[in-house]
Amino acid sequence: MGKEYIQLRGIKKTFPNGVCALRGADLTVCEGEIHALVGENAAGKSTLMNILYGVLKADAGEILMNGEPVHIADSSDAIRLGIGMVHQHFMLVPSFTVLENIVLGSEDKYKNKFGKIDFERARKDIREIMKQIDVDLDLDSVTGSVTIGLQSKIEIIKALFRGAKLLILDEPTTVLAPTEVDSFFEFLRKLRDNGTTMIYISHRMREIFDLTDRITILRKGETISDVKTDEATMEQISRDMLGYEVTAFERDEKRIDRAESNCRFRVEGLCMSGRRINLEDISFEIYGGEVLGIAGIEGNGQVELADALIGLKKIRSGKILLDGTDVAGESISKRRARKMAYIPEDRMHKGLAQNCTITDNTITGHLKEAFLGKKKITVNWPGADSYATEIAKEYKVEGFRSSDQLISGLSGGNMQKVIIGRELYDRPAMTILSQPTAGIDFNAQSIIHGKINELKREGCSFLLISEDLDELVRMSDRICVLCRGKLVKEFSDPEAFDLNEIGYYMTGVKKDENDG
Amino acid sequence: MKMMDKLKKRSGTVEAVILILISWSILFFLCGENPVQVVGYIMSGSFKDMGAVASVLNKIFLFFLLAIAYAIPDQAGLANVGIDGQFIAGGFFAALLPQFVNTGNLMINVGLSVIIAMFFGSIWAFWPALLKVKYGINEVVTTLLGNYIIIELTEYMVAYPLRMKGSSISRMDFVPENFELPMLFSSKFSSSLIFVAIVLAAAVWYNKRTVKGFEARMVGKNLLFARQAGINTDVVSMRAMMAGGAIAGLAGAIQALYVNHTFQSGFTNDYGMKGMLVALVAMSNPVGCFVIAVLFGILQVGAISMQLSTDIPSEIAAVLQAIMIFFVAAKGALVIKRRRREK
Repeated sequence: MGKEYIQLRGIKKTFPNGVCALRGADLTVCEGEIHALVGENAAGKSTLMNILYGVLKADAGEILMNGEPVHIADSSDAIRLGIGMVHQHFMLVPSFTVLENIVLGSEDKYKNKFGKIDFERARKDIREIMKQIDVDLDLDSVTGSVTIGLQSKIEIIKALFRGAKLLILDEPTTVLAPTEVDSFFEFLRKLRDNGTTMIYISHRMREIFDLTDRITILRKGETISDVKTDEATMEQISRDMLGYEVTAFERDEKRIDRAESNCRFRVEGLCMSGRRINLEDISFEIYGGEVLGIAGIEGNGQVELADALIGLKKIRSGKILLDGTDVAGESISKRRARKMAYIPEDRMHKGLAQNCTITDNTITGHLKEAFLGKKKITVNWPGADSYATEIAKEYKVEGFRSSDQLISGLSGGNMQKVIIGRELYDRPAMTILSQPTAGIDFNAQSIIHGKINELKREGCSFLLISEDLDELVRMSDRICVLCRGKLVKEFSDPEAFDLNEIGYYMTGVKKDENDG
Repeated sequence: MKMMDKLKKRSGTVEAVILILISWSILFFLCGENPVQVVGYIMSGSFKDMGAVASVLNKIFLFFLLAIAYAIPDQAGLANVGIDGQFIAGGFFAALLPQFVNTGNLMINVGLSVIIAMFFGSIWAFWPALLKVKYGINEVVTTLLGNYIIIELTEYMVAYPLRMKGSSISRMDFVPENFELPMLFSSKFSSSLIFVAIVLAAAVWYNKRTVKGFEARMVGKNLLFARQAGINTDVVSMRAMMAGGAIAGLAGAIQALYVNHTFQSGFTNDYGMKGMLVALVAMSNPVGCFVIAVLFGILQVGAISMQLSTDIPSEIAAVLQAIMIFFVAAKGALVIKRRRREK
């Protein structure tokens, strides 16, 4: 074990909205190691690192560097101490060149006496860094046109350029296709050999065992264990992360009846002009009791597809057939009346009204005779409250005291349970799920996946749009890949879902040779 | 939400009220007066005789209706800054009607006037609403500029074509007696009380109990969420604006038929803005609008007699109102945070 480099001790943090993110977390990172910070969603990993990077202030606890306590009031303190962070969502300016993006924020060090930035000197320094880690980037290419994999490398080089000796990487592989992960890890190992220490935040087992030297596990804001990767097992980590044993997921063995009569949802030749990407000639069908997964890297048309199907956006041409009826020209309320359900990717801004009660959020768009008054003019609030409570209990919503409380008091996973509960209550014919378990704790994920399986058995069909390949592979009966607004490949055999193959189609490396 | 939950929410209202009272007291001290006495003068000025009470009630009703005219669109997420214009439209046509139609029956006359006024009030809110839902044009800009349009139009009309012969100021012919808002059961109180009561009850019922009111509220809280739920947000927005315009028009009818007995130049003395401020302080809650309207009304009228009894000028009413608005706007920041319990 190398020298102790960074130590966080007893960090506590409660957010103004009352959510307690950290209750005394510890982390010890040694020089020159790749240290995994592991925990399920909402365990406190990002919060802890944001405190280390100065983005947030801890309520209690201390940070030590090489044994000496340090005070990190904001990010510039952290940067001065040699700490750099690469966030999950990049902070690069798409219209700038790579060179400009790397220099951004460090202009003061490179200004000559007239106040102009000396890009040539910066270029030399950047080349020096790139040589040390055996990487070659075209510094003059426009950042927006560069692949995501390269963009993450740019973010890292930028941190090194600012003198980072410790790099915090927040779930860097969520935006990468499986095929890009390997070369990314090669790159990280070169960094480590060059003397950079890294904290690698993740909840993906395979990556942790592949890449890291030590693992610290957080659960519900506390540090549970700190082990050497060589000496750990997946079961042990999983158990520490969740606090309980996880039973292996049993795929539902029931065969899907793919007869024409059982086709519940069919899309033919859907074309739509979106703001950033157009959908071209999308065609697929979903049978009763089937989950069709849509794989794809963020930004390839997923949001546009979901919006088009539910009716938020108008399509240019094509048919959307729900149980035989073309709903392409119908309003959202008509489609919902025909039992189409929609779980949007942006739960905060599309799926909920934040400062409204749980009841408000449960009944919007789902008014039922059970709690409507005469002639559907008035709302019977006690009835609405008990409807909301029923859903909350069925989905085991944590933190639920009464349906009168504001929904913003719930954690992300529990908010999503409410959304899914309200959308699936009526056993809809066809449900569009867009990133349904993004950022959600494992417990909530299991409940949601369990519900989907339950409804599958009742003949409901699902369109599962997800960037989480694990989820797609586990839940889908077939997977189609969406790349640049087109469906490029269908994988029909759940037993033979090949992550690498899917990855190639996701990144556009492979294209389907035969059309139609 | 239950009462206890509301009180527990700590939105800063209590802190704001305390700070408002303290600021007012400091202000009165600085003017060399005893705050308690000053409040006494304001109150007694408002209630010293039936004339004063009637005057206060008029103001209260006016502020209340205009506040509701702002509050209903606000609940649906729209800023109806055109209340003045809708108020004027209502008053103008209410006062104009007798020149064309007079059934001879007081009730029917007044009823017609009110309906016409509400109609034109909502028309004046219709076009900004349409521009907003169809083209996304900011309703603050359209309604605000629309105010000036209708002010100029009506000013011209009462200065020349419709001007009462022999009048030194620009105004229409006086409204005939059988168009004037009657008194309530031969008391000294105007029957405008009935309109106010109806509007208040309707607003409360709409908000709390109706489906349409609920949907409007959801549109106001999160437009995208309401839309993806199937709510026709365009219709909801238009309905809300037009309802606001109609109520402002109603206020205009009352002002024309009862207070002024005509429509004249300078019909609105920025009443619309005052109404909007009442709604802001009351956070668009209908009952709150009434309570704050009472407060504003008493301040407005009582300040005048306060000026007679003290050295404080009546303009202080505006300062007192401004302090109220200031602290209400800041109340989110005023909450004294307790240490949160850890879950």
